[in-house]
Amino acid sequence: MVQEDATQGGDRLVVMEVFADRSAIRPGERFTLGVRMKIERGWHIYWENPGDSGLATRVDVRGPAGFEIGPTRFPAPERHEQEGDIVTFVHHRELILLRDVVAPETLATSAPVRFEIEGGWLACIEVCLPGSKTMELTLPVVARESAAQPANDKLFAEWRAQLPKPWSQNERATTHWSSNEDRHVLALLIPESTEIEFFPRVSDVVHLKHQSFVREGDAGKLELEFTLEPARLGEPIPEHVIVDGIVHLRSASGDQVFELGIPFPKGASSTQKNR
Amino acid sequence: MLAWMRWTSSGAALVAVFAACASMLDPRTAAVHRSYSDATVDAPFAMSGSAQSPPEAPTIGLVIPGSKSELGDIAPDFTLNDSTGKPVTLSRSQGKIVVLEWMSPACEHCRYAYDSGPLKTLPADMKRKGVVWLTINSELPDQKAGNIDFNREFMTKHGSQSQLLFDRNGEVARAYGVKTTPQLFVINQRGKLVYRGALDNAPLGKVSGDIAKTNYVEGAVADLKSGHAPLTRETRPYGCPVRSRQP
Repeated sequence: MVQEDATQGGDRLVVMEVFADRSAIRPGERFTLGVRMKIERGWHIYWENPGDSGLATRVDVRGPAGFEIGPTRFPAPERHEQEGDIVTFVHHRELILLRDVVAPETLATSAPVRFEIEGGWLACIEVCLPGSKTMELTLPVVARESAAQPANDKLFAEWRAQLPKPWSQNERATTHWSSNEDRHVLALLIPESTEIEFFPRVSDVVHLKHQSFVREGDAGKLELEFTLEPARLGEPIPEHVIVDGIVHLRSASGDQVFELGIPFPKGASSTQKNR
Repeated sequence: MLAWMRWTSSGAALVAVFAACASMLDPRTAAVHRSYSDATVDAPFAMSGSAQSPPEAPTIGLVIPGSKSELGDIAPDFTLNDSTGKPVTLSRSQGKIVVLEWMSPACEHCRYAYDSGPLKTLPADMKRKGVVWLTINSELPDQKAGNIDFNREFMTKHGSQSQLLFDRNGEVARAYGVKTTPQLFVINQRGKLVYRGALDNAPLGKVSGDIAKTNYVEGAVADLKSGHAPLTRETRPYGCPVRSRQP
């Protein structure tokens, strides 16, 4: 067993590298920053929803004024079960995080732009050790009329392929809601799937209580049971609430991962009981 | 001695079922789950359904093995030994606001909180305000994180004024659904569980994004002191998984 050691720290358990999919950027151009975290063998770090314990891995990007920096995009995690009924959502070996950036239209070409990228993680095995690293990435700016200057094409193509696809691309899947008082069940029926798992994103309002998978003929069926609760005492539950998370499905033809963003049925928020 | 107590349907009697004998337990620890209102029967804790008691009064902290208490429930009662072997019973604090803090000195999030974070001063500040703060360790006794001397040294080093209790068989952690350290619970003056979750929104002192730091426990206690229920009742705890003894 690895003994905890405050001086050891979690910094050395993850090797962080940063990349851009451009060697130079143009005013108004959209590009992507990629952060690769290589995780020490046997250890894990956490998905954006860590589950019952742990801490979400984060990538903070600070750039010059006027740059729009999008949210961090994670690939699908693995489910990790520990003694004590602790279920967490984790990444082993390597985690790639992407953030899209849009340069301002008025960006001057006279000087390169510098981004500060700070990664933070909690690495766990028998013990947990937090770590962080801050890196810089500088990109030259070229004129709007210049040709695009892509870089690291192969890496980014591989990394984007790991991200969940839109649910609409899961053409053969069907969904069905059923409600019983304050319990709402979303059924996902996906032909030829042998296993389906849902990883919920963090929500103050939507709470996944249970998920169960069954085979129905040649299709797989996942039932997700939710409750809705106000984020703060006395606050109403918003009228439009969505189930937000990732669906990982397995079939004979391989694994696929989809984004799930399905709205609750109309009136669901009004059937909730306040605790 | 470990005892499960059951509230009969008539509301007239408590039935104690002794589930284990004292000799089977760690001699430095005792966990007694029973009615929160059992210690003394004074006004806010009188049994409902009896002639003398107000209808809204909390009655009993029934703990079913494997069950988990929910927000708004009466907090499960327990007796746990502190690091000197002295038993401490939750229900002795009835009428006061109680904070339960699950802690492991091997968890970096707890270390940070005590070294330079909110737990450096918060338990003492709360104590001055009349709040009872109980720190609980539910880690495996044969691991460093659950070692009594290691825990005692940690608390002494940080000048902690809260009582450190040992949940040697993990029973109290299971009753409260604790899976993470640090994880905190606030119990109101009527013995009800009114907040559970994280200490704050700043793991290792860092807030994600442009939001202000919020200490949820401080907020919950301030809300109770102002005479209303905590506005934030539940948050997602962050930190290290609890490795406690399993049944």
